[in-house]
Amino acid sequence: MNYAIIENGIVTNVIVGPLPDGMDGVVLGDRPVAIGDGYANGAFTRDGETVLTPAEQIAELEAQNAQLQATLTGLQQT
Amino acid sequence: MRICRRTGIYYNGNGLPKFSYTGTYEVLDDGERNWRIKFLTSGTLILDRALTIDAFLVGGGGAGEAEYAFCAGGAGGKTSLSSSVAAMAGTSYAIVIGAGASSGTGGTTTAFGASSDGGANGVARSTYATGGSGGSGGAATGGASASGGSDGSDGGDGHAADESSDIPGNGQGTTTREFHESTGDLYAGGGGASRGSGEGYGGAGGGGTGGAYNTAYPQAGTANTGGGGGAQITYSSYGGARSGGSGIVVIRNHRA
Repeated sequence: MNYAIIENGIVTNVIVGPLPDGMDGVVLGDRPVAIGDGYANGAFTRDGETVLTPAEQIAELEAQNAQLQATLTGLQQT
Repeated sequence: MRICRRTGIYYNGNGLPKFSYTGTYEVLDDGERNWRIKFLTSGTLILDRALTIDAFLVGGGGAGEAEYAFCAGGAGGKTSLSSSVAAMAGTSYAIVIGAGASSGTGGTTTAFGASSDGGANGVARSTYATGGSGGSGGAATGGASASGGSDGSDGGDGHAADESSDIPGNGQGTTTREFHESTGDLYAGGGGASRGSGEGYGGAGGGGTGGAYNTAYPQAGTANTGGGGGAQITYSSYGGARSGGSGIVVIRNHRA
């Protein structure tokens, strides 16, 4: 399990757990966080966008696809 | 050589140290009362007696990156060596193993007051690619497939039609072998970069292979080598890029 080490809201290192005694970090799971990403209120961000897990990326793309399909259907009916 | 892999407390009366470690490690008996310990994950080390040790560190490997016609491998993590370190009995030593990067630069490995940076990621855009720089350089291509660097060398160059559009990553220029000795295990190979029918091999020392055009996906750097991730152009149906391998810390009884 990898952990992100955070300093002043920025990811300064990504390490292989377990954390050494006295060191704080945030568990990453399969979230592709990189050194330099931001961290605030429990969320990682890169270039202003939330860093998503692969499952979250798929869900977001499926939602966008559904929205486009609905828009296309609406255009065909007008 | 005898290898023991575990977590917790380790003791062997044959000259090997007694210690506790909260992570995962391997103990290697090199004979004649010589030993090494490979720390595979982060953790806290406590020795039962004072020791003079050598410590070899490898940072995490950088990620590969791929675009439609250009791709670049990640670099192997940088390596460092600390000799004749006085390690005290009963002291808690934090050992931090840099993770292989799924994107961006590999994690930094630290132990006994020393550190080794991770390898840089490859960068691929629609018109150029740049291999990551680090222990051994990542390959870059917009032309033929190219192999990652090994043992501190630069990555390979795929030679796109515009020579300035694929730039391989630089290696550290010194050996990446364990304890920086010519007989040591090899670490920190650069990631390969694949385009066309050839295969961009990962640099020896755990670098990820770039894959094979329409037959094989690129490979990640090998865990606990600090190898860079491989990449293949996304024009291939097997295109994409992979993560770097995690780093490692190896200590041994000091040898003159």
